[in-house]
Amino acid sequence: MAKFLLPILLILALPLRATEVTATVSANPVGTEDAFQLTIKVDGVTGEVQFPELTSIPDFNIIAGASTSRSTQIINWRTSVSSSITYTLSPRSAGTFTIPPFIVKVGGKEYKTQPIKLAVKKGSLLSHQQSRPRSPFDMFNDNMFNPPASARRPVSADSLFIRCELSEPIAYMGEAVMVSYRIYSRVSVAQLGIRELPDFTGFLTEDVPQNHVLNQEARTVNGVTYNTAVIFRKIVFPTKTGRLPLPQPVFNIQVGNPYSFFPGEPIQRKSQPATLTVYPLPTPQPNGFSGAVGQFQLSVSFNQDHVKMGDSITCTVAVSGEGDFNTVELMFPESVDGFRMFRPSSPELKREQGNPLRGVKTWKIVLVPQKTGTLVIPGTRMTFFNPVSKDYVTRETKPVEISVEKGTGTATSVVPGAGGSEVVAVGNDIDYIRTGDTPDRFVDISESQWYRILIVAVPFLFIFFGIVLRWRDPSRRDPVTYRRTHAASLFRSRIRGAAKYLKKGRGREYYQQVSKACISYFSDKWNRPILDLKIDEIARDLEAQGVEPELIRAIVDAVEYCDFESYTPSSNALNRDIIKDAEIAVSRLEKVL
Amino acid sequence: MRKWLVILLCLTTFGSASDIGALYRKAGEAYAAKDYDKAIELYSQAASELSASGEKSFDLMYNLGCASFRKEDLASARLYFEQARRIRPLDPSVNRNLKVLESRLSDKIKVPPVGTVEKAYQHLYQSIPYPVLTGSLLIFWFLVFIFLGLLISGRYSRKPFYYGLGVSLILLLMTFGLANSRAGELARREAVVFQPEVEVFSEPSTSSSLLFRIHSGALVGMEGEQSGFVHIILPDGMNGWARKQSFKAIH
Repeated sequence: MAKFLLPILLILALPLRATEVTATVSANPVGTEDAFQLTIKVDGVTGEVQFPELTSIPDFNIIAGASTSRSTQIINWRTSVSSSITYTLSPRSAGTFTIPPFIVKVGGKEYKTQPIKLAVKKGSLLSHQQSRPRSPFDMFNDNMFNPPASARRPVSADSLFIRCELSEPIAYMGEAVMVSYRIYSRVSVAQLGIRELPDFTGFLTEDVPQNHVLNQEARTVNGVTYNTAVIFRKIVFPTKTGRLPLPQPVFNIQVGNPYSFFPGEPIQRKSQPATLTVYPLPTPQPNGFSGAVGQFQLSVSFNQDHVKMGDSITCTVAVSGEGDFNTVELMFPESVDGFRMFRPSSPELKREQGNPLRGVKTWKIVLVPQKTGTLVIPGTRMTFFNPVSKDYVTRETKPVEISVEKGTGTATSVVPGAGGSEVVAVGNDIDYIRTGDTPDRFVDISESQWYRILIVAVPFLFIFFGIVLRWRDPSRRDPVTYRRTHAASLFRSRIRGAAKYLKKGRGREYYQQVSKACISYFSDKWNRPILDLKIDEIARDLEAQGVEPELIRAIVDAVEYCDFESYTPSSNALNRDIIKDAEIAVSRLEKVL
Repeated sequence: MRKWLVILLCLTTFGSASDIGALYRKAGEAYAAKDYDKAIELYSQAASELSASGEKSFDLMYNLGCASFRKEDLASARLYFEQARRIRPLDPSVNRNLKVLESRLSDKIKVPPVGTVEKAYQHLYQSIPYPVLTGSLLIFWFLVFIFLGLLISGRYSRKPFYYGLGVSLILLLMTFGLANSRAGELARREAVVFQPEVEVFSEPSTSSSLLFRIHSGALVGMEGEQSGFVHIILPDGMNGWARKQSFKAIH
């Protein structure tokens, strides 16, 4: 029997097949506007799998990945584990290219994939080849759960594409250019989304608020009418010269009727390439040029031109037009003679809804007159480069006269230090270095090991010394001395015993215990047997020792009261105060004896 | 008084004080002569010598920050100024310099305002040097056990020891609270961005969604690491995963 069983067990223990490493692509050929999957798969995994980390593949862009998966199959009682890694690629140009072999380590052993020859054609081909796979569970073979034919119809590159449109094909450095990604479609689109936000290398960018609902517009290209809509917009400002390529983001599109139960297969479309030609700004640049490029108008207005001393006026400086407002700076004088000037407000930028390149940037400055008469606020100016006229333009406003009358307020009430002016910061820089012969230095003791040792060890040390001191206490070795020195604490512990009887309502025991505690105190203090001590004798001895008669009376009263109550118990409630009286008397005696 | 206490606790006898002093003076001269590279080299040398003996120096970190700032290396300047601020959080110069530095960074990150009570408490524990706090903590800890030991010995009148124990316990708890808050601040995991631009993703992978970009010199909090990525959080609450090698941690 064992003869037969052994080979069977050996067969069962064998893996389904030997390790096999393959690289495959989801489509071949593909179009330049298509994205496809490259999958490296290991079948028959026998140990740890180390896939290559792909950062670039010649002639292709890696647009997504890597996503890994692992699966286990059990067939005929034998297991097979396979593992795979998938990247999404898009070709850079048309032609025939070879995806190089990759090295995969499985259980410490290296395996090499076969190179893949891939044909890339212009446009998009992928949608022609993709069709919905037939479900293996579709046993009834009816159309109830299949999408309609229209949803499965392949979408050609001419029927649906995305263009990158620029407000200007040529711009100067720093000029604001609107970049719009517009979809052109002759088929219904159910869903639309961007796969990954593009990286605008070579540009500064500014976001444009997006509408949640796309505005559709009919446009004709080569005699063909398309439904179009802007999917994504951004204002870009080129930071270098030359022909700058715009990014080509990949969009996920679901074709079909958005209201249908079968929205159709998802497809991907890469935006068509676009470049922006950027020229440098002409030199020499005039003084006062802050880098603003565009077409701007400058205006200055005041909320009033007649003002009373102490009242304020608000000056509004507005720069309106089209261009890069980020580089437009306030060119208002830092101080105005006869006025106290407050720091200008933060600029407010309002962009036009229809054309976000156009807008108005405003600053508000509060001025408080410091003297009466006709005061002049000088004009302001700004210099910018106009890309239309291709030259530098300076806009200037005229000086404005403000009439200041005497009012309730005075200059001195507004400005601290009459006759002078506040210190105005004209620069901004860091403080100077620390000088001296040596730098400061310290050790963080909390980080040292000694600190931790001390924290843990020293408490034990002190407690140990406390125990040793207690153990070596000579009074504890001699019972007579011990009783004398600890008479008060022994008294208190007996009183605690009496309090227990009080709690239980046992009056007789309670009074007896209080009386006994008082007599025992003197017995401990004077080292005399308790039976030999009577309260009268105690009183006499205390008197002989010069104790105040009032204190003697208090202790005698307490003892006599307790004795009386213990032998002739009354029906009255137990006297709780007697404990307190006895304690006070003993603590006073402790100071005397 | 505070300075005196710091000096009292500072152990200034370690290392070769004269060597570090000479480096410090030479670096100061190089800085005055606008030779910032040399100044940085000498200050760094002095700092590494101090660090070898387990010591720290506010002055060295501060001066390194100033020299890096002058070299337009804003990320290094931020790192050194932040390290100096950890030693003396309320030093006016370092706070002023950080403000100037922040005004020159491309990222303007809003810091949420702190409540008045929290601010007052922060000011309290930041105004006491950390060595003073840790030293006081040790002293009050000892006092508690000295009084306990005396009470256990039972040799002397107990009353003053009870009072002593109570007062020591209160002072211990107060000092512990302050030292713990300060230690928490010192142990905070923060880093400075050292690359011109760093992309921050929603997951520790470049294939996940790009959330935002931060730029050189920005200060971030670090919360965790995974497969070469670090989870960063900005003072305004924005957070995500970025490559670890883009940051230098503040110690």
